[in-house]
Amino acid sequence: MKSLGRYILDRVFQMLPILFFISVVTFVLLYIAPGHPLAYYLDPSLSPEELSARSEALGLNQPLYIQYFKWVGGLFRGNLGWSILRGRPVEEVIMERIPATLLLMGTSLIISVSVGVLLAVISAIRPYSLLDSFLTFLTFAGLSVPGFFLGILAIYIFSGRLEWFPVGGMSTAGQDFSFFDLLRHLFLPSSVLSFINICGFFRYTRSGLLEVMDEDFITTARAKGLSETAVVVRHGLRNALAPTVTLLGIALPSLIGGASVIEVVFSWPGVGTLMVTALYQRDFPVLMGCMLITTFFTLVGGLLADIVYALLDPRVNIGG
Amino acid sequence: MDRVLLAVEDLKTHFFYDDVTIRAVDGVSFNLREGETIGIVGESGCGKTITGMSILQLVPMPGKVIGGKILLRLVDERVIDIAELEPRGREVRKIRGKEISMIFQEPMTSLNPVYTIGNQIIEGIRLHNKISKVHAREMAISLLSEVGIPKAEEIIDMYSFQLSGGMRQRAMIAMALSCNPRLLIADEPTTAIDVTIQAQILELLKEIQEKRKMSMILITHNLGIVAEMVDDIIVMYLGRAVEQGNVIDVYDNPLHPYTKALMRSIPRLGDRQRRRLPVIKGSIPDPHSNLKGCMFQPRCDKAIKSLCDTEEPSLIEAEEGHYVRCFLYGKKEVDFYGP
Repeated sequence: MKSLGRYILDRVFQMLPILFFISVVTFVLLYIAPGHPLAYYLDPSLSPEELSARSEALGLNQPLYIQYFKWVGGLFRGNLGWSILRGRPVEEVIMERIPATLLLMGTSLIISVSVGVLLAVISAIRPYSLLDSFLTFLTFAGLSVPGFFLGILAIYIFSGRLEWFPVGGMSTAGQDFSFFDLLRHLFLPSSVLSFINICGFFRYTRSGLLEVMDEDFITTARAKGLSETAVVVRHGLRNALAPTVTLLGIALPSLIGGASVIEVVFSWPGVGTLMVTALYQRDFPVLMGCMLITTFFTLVGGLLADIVYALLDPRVNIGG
Repeated sequence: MDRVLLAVEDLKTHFFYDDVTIRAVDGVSFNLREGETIGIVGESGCGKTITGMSILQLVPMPGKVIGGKILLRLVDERVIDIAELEPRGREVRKIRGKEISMIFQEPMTSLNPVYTIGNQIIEGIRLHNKISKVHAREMAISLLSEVGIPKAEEIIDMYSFQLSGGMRQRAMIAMALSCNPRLLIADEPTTAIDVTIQAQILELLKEIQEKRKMSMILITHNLGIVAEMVDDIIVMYLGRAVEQGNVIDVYDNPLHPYTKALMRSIPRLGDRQRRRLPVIKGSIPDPHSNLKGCMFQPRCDKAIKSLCDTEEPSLIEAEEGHYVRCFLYGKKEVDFYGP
């Protein structure tokens, strides 16, 4: 039996080929995508020679594999590249967007996990009751409606009609920073994101719980004289959390990578918005940086989920 | 004479599905005296497990106890009707695990895999007794020793998947005994266990019962077990008791054609070799079929035409204390013995 530390180390080494593979694929995809990184610069006054000189200076005229190895070489020296459009290091561009994304995604993730699991427990205590049917229907509807639509709907109702909340952004223009102002801006996008995620967490946890509630040890727990709430929470939930943990592992990269659609709809200045604009601008180094970070955290999320499985269920022996 | 601890009168537990109602238990009555054991036997699906679960109001959805009485005499002489209690209510939860405990067929799946054995025993102890964790743990260790688990101080911190089948069932028994119940319902306690260990578990149950003066309901399909373990026996078929009485009477002189057929189909030592074991012809009818008359009539070789297939027999006292639900023994109704 290997130790936990050894297991984590092994998994980290397994990540390297995956990271390499995904970075190659992304690099090639961006290269063959229509539109040249300098297209955004296109200034009628620039002569072809001048353009070519710029291209040369940025290293865009070199063969693809040279460009890739230069980029990888940069990674080992701790830099993610140079933003073509912004003229600044990519890591700097991304870092300044991370706080906004972390705030939005962290808030919604905490709300959605706690509310989603809580509602699932309430549903499982009285399965197929009126409340359970209502929640099941509502969350199904929530998962079926696209996020951008919910976002726009929320803006229309709460900002446009009722004027309770700002339409977008993180702060009111021309105003000094205030915590209350930030909360007002955070409310709508985090509510929409939370609602969407609650639906997912609710449905996965509920179906996991209902499956576990048919197990023999649940009958044993009831035969002891435990209340139904204690049976569900103490004996059901811990056995039913595996799908929830998987979902959490998948959600982890979004803490850094953001949710592009919702961020764009609410003009939230986070990493998600950065990715979308970088794509429009063909600012490939920025995109590569974002992709690399997201991929990395996706892998970390999977690893963390595996570790949590083992903590929840002693039968899972992750060393073995 | 010992007094009646539990009196079940005309118990009816039905399952309500969208298209059909299944009468899993349909009129079962018996009296269980203090310190005695009653055996409920029958094929799979005859309602014996549901009878046991009904006594604790543990019938799974969409089943429900819809009729009859389950009268339990409490320590303070009060008599309480469990059939009237709300399945999720506080009153019945105070009975579960404290007055009446239950152990199940599959010790592997009946223990929660994510908690240690000790954790699960202590949970039950502390639910019904206001004592400290340390004290409860000591009690759990002595319970585990009592049921014959060696090195109880170590086993208590193990998970069910780390134990053998026999050890798991011993742990289940320890858990069931943790609050000194006056009645233990054992639902096929040895069916899922190695044959070599079965006898040990039964011996243990018998020993504990005598030591603790506990009553027991033993649910099984194994007639061999019943003969050694029980005082009274109920033979069930499709939710009904077809024959019941003192175990010696029923074994020496089985009355119902179903009981007779069951007895014939037990292999015996000393039987002439190569004898074909008699089987009961046909199989249990589909619960959806609308069977009229006696439930056993389609499989019965003594069925009386235009009587058994039209009218349902009621339980009659054929001999003293020996009841049978069959027209071969007359038609008169009896007032079943009350508590």
